[in-house]
Amino acid sequence: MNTIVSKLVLKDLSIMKVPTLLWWSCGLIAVAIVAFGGSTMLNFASILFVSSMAGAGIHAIMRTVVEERREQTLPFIMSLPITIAQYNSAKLISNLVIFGVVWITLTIATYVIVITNETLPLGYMPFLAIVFVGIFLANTAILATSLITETIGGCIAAIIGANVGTQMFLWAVNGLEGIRSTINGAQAAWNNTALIVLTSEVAIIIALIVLTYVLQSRKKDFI
Amino acid sequence: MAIENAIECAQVSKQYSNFHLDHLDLNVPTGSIMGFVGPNGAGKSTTLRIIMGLVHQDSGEVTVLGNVMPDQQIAAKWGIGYVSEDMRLYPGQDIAFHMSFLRSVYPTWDDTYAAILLKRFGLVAEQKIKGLSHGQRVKACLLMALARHPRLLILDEPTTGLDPLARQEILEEMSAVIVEEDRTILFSSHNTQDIEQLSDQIAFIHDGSLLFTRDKEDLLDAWRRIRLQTAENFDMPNVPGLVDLQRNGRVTTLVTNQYSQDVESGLKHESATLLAVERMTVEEIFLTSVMAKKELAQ
Repeated sequence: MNTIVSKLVLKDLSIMKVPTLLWWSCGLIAVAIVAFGGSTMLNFASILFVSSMAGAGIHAIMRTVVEERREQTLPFIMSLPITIAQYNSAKLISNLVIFGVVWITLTIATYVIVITNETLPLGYMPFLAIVFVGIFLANTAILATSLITETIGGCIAAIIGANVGTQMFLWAVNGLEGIRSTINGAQAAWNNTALIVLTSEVAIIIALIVLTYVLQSRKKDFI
Repeated sequence: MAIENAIECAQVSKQYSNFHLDHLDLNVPTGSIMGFVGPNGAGKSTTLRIIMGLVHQDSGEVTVLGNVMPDQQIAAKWGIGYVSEDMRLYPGQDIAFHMSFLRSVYPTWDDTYAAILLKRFGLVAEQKIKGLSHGQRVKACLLMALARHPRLLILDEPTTGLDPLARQEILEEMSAVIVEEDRTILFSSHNTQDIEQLSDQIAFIHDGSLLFTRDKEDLLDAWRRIRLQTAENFDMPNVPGLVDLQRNGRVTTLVTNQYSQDVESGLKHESATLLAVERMTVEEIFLTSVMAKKELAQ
């Protein structure tokens, strides 16, 4: 990574370390509730879990992207020896790292719970993977929209769109024969349906990141 | 090798929906302190943002510290300290956070000098930015720009919005740090008093067009307001550099931008009495220039 980009990323990580730690802790509490609270607390824990993950991503985007312009810290950053493309690289990397750390640890924790908890069927695993990658995709879409529009309105619209879109997407995925028929199975069924959905999600994430970088790098007026 | 001009703008244009920067030619000699004067909306900030590479010009060439902008903006920005009126530091962080961040970016960052500036500006490193007054925030931004020892300092209306006391403090501190090092400074303001106090070169911009650029002392020496008492039928001789002429009964007031003893001599006439030859302030010169341009356009 370019040195100046890494400095900008580290700066954003430093600014976001406390709130990220708090969101991450909330997510771990949700996982612990599932592990020790049993099925009666499952609904509450699920809401807390998804909220923690979404909160970590959205908080970072609001603080490091939207507020950068709203609080007028952008001229300070852009006066440094960087280009618009480098600035956007740094924002993409820092937000993906912040969200990624929370996302990967909570994902692993969830899988550990599913694998070790005998009451939860292993058939859930492919669907959970689709859900987790879907949440990553939703966060990337919010990040991309916020970076491109650079407005709080754009960010809010993206949050609402991502929320509604993810719910509709998961509802549609749940209706797929290859998913529905295996979700309660004793073994994880990594069939073609699950793999195609997962691959599509990853492809859209990559496309969003590339598109954001290209569009932002072409901007001629940045302040 | 020393560069003759720290900044060179040649025929720079930028079109917005409601504003047009029109073929601007501006050279800032290395080592000079240029005041960039103009009213709000004249094009000062647009020009400075183009110079910084933050906004790309539609046409024309910009060279900063020998680097073509915006393509070579990274190389140029290593040597530039930039403070603008709309620049803010991270409100939730303290001054030390920003100093630490800039120390990690700039190998030229000078901790000793930063400590001196902190003391001089009356700032405390542990102060959170959101707890600072506007004047303190401006001082903090100046500190961040100066402690990296930039070859070129670009200040976009740094005194705007300050109360008179804070403004004077900032100007005094800027005067002090300016004389300490040999650097080029481009300093924009709509407040001509600030410009007159700090600059040795002055550029006037109005409505997206550069009116002129000149050495401050030469400018102040060249402009005079001359008042004459004349006969009703007095036939005004040809006055070099005549910018404005007003007749009010038997009193004629004229402004020239090519004043010399010869102008006075030329006005001596049996039907005219020289009442006063007055030096003009930068503000008066600017206003007269703008009015003359408007009259010419009509």
